[in-house]
Amino acid sequence: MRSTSLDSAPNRPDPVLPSGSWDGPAFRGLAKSQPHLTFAIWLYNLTAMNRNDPLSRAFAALADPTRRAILERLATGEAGVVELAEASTLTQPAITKHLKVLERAGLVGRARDGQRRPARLQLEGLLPVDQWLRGAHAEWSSRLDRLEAHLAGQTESTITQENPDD
Amino acid sequence: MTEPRIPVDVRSASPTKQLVIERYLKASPERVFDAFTDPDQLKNWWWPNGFSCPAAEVDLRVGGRYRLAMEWPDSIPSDAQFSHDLGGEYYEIDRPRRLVMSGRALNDEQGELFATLIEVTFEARDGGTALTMCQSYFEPMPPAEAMSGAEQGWSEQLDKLQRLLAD
Repeated sequence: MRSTSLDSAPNRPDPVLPSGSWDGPAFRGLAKSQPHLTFAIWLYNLTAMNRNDPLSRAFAALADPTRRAILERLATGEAGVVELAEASTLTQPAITKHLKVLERAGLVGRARDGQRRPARLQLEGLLPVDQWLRGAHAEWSSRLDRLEAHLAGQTESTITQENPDD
Repeated sequence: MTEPRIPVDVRSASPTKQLVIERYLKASPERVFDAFTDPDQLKNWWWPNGFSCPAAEVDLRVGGRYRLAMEWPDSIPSDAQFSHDLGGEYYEIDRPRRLVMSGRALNDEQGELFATLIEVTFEARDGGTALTMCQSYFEPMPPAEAMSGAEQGWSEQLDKLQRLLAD
């Protein structure tokens, strides 16, 4: 339904996304064939970049050690920007930036408590990540089971070959 | 994320960022001013290269509204297109010197995506017009990446205006 991007402008793109995602083959082709459409192509890219799903946003947010540290801190209880900045080497604006990324990824919620806006962990934001990891784990688990069975069979036959008398 | 947003009062909010574009146009301030306020002319130049403005509505009076539709270039894959109109209210109409209006990115589904204040001054100079466009942005800001293209967009759009005025 909402397949488009500035549509989701309230939910802005993360600054953490690799710049490579702007520069897909489609972009290069277009830029070459229609150089005058600079703005349109740029906006098209923005759209493509913006169309990331909750899982991508969560992983992108988690990819940064500072943000993981913030999440770990918030696991012990809610905290404001000032508090988080004091506990780290970062400035308050930097913390705010990271919090915004975490907020957009749904990993952190910020209450409106007058001027103060304490951040708190929003575990449900991790659900897509957890589901993905579970799926990946199940897949790998069954593959490893098959590998194990395969290796076991191979070892037996190797042993059989090496010791034909057994 | 999807709840309708309350329109920003762009006259009382303090801007987070301002974009200033200056351009000299070889046409009288009256002609340039009219190009900014006449719907038939707006349809011919508003939006950057490749985009078109299939519909323009203007109620040119203080407190009156305008709305400019946006259509993407055909060459851009349709799944990447999203259209939002630009609309707003007029705050100052001082032909041919100054035009102040809000510039709101509007979408049928979600209403206002972001709001800006657009202040245009038209100054007679050397038989033409020195145009200054100041666009102020407010929280919630458009994406940083969107901001970075705004200048390019305006520049392409004013190129179109320049060509139109040369005709």
